[in-house]
Amino acid sequence: MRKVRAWVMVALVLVGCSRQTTTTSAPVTLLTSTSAPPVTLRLLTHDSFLISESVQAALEQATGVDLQVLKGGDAGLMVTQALLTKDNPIADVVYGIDNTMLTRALEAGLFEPYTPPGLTDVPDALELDPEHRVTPIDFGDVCLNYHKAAFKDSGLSVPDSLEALTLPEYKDLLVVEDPATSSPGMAFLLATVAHFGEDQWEGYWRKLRANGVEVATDWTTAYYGSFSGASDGDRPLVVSYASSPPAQVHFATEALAEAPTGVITDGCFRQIEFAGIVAETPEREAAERLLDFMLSLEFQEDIPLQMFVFPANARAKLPEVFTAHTVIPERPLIIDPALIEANRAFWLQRWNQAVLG
Amino acid sequence: MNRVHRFANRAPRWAAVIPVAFLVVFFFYPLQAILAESLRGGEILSRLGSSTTWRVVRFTFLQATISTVATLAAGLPLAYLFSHYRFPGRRLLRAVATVPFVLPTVVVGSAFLALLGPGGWLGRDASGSLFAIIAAHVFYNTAVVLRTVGTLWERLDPQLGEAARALGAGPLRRTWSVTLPLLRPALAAAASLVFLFSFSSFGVILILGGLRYATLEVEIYRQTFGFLDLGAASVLALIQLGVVAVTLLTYVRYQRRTATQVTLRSPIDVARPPDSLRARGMVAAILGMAGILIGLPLAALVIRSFQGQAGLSLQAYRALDDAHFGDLATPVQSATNSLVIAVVATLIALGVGIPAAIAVAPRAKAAELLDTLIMLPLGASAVTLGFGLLLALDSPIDLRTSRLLVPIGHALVAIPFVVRLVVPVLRSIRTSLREAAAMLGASPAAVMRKVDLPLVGRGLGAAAGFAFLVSMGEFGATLFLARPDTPTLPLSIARLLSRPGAFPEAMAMGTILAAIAASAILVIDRVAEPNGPSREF
Amino acid sequence: MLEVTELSKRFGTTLALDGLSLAVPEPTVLGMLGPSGCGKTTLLRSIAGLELPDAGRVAWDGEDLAGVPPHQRGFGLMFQDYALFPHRDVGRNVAFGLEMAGQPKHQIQRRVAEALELVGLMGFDRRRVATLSGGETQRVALARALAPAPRLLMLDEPLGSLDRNLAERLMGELKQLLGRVGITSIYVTHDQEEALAVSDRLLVMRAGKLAQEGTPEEVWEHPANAWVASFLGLTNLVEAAVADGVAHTPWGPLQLGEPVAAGTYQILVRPEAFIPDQGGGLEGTVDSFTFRGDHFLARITPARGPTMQARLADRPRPGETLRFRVDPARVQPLAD
Repeated sequence: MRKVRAWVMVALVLVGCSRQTTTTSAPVTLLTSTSAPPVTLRLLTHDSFLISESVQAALEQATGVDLQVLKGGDAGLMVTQALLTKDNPIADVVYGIDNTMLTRALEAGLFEPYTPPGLTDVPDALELDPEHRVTPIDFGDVCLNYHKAAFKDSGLSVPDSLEALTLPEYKDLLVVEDPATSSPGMAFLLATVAHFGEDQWEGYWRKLRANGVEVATDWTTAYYGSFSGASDGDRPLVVSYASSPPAQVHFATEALAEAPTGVITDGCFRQIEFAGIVAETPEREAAERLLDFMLSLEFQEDIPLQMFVFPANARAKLPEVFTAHTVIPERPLIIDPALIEANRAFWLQRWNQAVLG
Repeated sequence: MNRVHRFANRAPRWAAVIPVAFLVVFFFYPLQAILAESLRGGEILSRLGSSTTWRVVRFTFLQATISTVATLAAGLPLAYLFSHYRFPGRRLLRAVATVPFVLPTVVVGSAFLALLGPGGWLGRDASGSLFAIIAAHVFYNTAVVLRTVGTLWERLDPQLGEAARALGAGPLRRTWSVTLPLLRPALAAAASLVFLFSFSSFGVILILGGLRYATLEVEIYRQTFGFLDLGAASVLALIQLGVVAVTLLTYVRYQRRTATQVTLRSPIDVARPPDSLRARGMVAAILGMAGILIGLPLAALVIRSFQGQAGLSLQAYRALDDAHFGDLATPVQSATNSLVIAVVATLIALGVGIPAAIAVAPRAKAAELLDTLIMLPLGASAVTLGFGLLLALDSPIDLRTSRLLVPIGHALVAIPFVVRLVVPVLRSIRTSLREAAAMLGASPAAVMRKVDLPLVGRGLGAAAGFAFLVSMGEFGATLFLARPDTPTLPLSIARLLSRPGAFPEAMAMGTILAAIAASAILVIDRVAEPNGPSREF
Repeated sequence: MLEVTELSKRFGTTLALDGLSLAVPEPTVLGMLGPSGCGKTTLLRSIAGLELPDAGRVAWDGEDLAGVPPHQRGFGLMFQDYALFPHRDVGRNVAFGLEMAGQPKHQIQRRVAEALELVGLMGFDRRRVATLSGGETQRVALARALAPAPRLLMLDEPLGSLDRNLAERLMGELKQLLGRVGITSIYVTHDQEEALAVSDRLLVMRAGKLAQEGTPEEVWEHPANAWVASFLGLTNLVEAAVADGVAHTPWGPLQLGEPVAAGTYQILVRPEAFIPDQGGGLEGTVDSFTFRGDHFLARITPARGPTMQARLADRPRPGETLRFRVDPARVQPLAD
């Protein structure tokens, strides 16, 4: 037994040492302009959070903050975690809460208000909370993606609207995701609610069903299993992101002149991601500095290639791979977060009945 | 002669305290916290009365049962093969057959999609079917059968079978009357583990089950993720726990009736090269079956990792090291993190699991209860437990975001394996050895130290190895914790899979994980298997 | 001194021990003889503390041992299957009890050497347990039990798993050894030869109760009842009415050596009672016989009455008809 204890000690030391090997570690410069030691700030976010090493270093230098990132799975789970720990929060700042869950977080009193000066550069349409309890950081658009080569080969024209998907020439060509288990799936459902209105969206889905729509359980299964633009699948239309084509080009191991897939701008749903300062955090000042930095050009311009969403700061320049291979829809669909909160369960049930029942 | 002898066979009192304390703090207390927080009375009743709920329960049970039967059907011939025949490449093949167990669901799902999905090798779309689910479960869980039944089988005294043959029993009769009863404890252990895994299976059902098939775990996830309805999720979690507890109690009670203090031989003695044409034919047939069930998906994984823009290439592997993936995927760091966490998790699992095994081995009624409690985490909802840990562990020490939480979560799932592997070996130790030690002045604690543990010795190696593998491949349970940012290999693979265009790289990392797992298994096997003369237990 | 009082133990519906009492003075070899299932092993295990009795008490020097666990009783037990620790060599097996007592290393080494010498296995201390022969295993088991100098040594069928010749040879050695060490011991066996050879005092057990107690000679010469006689291998037992010192047996009227009250008895005719005599009143033909070294034991079918077992000095011929007279001193009336 003594031997076991010794090994546990060794292991704990190793775990401690492994702190150095986290992906977001970076050498913290010892020569800072302020003589104060770095403040530890805890950031709760989802698994897709990513910033490049140089930006991380800049963040720590500019804010004097030692950032401890806590990953909580995907966005929905992260929000639940934040809500569950409300009385004894595990973080000082939460980032990654989006407009489909915003109301729930606000009603629970999760955040305290803060108006960063950088907000002036953010378009008004993105500021969903007049009380500034949350700050928009980035947005992504869930759009239909199409496989260019498949359409060229078949001679079909690319559908240009949601209604077009119910036409017989597009039978058995679309794959979507289950809104109950997939964030883009939910976004697409909301898009149809917004576009067709609360009376008619169900009928639309029944028509889609009749037209052979395939429903996958999550994005990976849809994109890498059924979407012909990224796999051996046989469906050239998929619900994905506006940033998917640029991502394909960016991650391709051989240089691509053109993205193999494109975006259909009709029927896009806008997902906005917010960051908020947790109510009664002991590190208010440091949290404010973090939020300021997150709206700064340095951070904002790093976002596209790390997290593949669009910066909220209108002055931020997009990388070339984005401007070349995708478009930001001019009139994306959006629904009031309070409405989403009130009807979420109901809409999901109706969707189930229309599509699976 | 199966009496429970009061003194010499009684476990030292503290043996049960450690696992109970661990389970209370890291399992029951968090569960209670989350259930209390989210359950409302009316909700429970309406959920319990809903026919949808019971449809889901029935399906969960059905697919778990079919999976268990199918896995045993596939795994037993393979276990027989590896324990009775020696042939070139045997060790490597056995390691490869164990690899699926370590692969995270995202990787397995992708490999199976490649095989069974639209455009897959099968020619038609079999994903989203019960067949796909069962196939994936068999792929995963054959390793469990190999490691439990196989380990016991290769140590059974061949003289027992030969005695039966001398008495005129044919091979089928021998298997039925002699071998199977002797293997019963290991068979029951394997069946229970596979059942629990299949019952609480999440990733496989999600990816391969399509939308027609939902298990309790998937429903819980759906309620949490899509509906943001923790109350509903908690009710389902409670039902899940109830069904699992009842199943386990039944299993444990059944286990009580199996006797067996058998002579265990060194595996070297039992295995021999296939000498007859019939034997060789059988070896080939079994290997062929294994090749299809296990080899094909693994091959799909590996081949996809070599897919470049035009034909096969090493692009994906080179890209992993490349700058433009940056912090998204660094194999070395992820692998190191995985290994460190696995080591810590193994130590915790042994530290809790060995006393648990010691407490459970004597067949006392109280021990049965402990046995059931230890197995519960395998069947509990990972989502619910993750939230529970977050809610409960904030005082007196705030462990909620501690680095230890991930290894602890892994250990919760690994401890049942340690117990299931160590208990049969403990039970096979002749009672008279313990009593002799007691008569010579050894207290129960000294008996454990000086008799049980040295004799179990090598069995501990197998248990530690299994715990290590469980941790390496663990994905679901820790996904729902709030963790400091130390990505493990499975998490890094998941990240890659969420990026368009990074699929071959994800498969490449999955192949690396498989290779590490295979090497680890080979090392563990070499350490755990004695090459010395046969020993009577 | 060991005292067992009114010990009872039940397993399920079986009563293994039924109010058994005995006392073992020191130093004595107490033999416990009985058929399998008679409770002798249960008695041993109850004394050892490995079983808890339902009623009664076990005491040593007046001190009640209830509540004292086996590892604290200071008793040695040599198991039927020897139970040598396979993961330790011979020397470390023998040393086990001394290690548990916390004795210093050099003393342990000395005692181990002494014990091995005692059993005649000097130089065996590095040998692996799996390489020992049957007799060697038994001796190591004995050495291990003796090394910590227990105040009581119990042996459970110690010669049971050895072949006949070896067992007979070791029987004498064992007796000598136990006497030399001067240790109080309880020796359990189902073999009456062994029990008679080794014991200073003999207990015969039947169905959880004492059937007879006494010195080996007493028990052999005067079995308490028919059951004991039959268990000792004395098979010439018939029921007969006795009157005026004569037993009216199926073989004819037989004179009793000692007079008893009239009544019905089990009559034991010892094999040596049949003395070949041309003028004798009993006639029978030889069915079969076995050579016992210094005598022959023959099965005789008499003219009337059941088959008899007779002890003959000379080799008979099969089928031979012999005439006997019966020595009254060797005819014993027994209770049931």
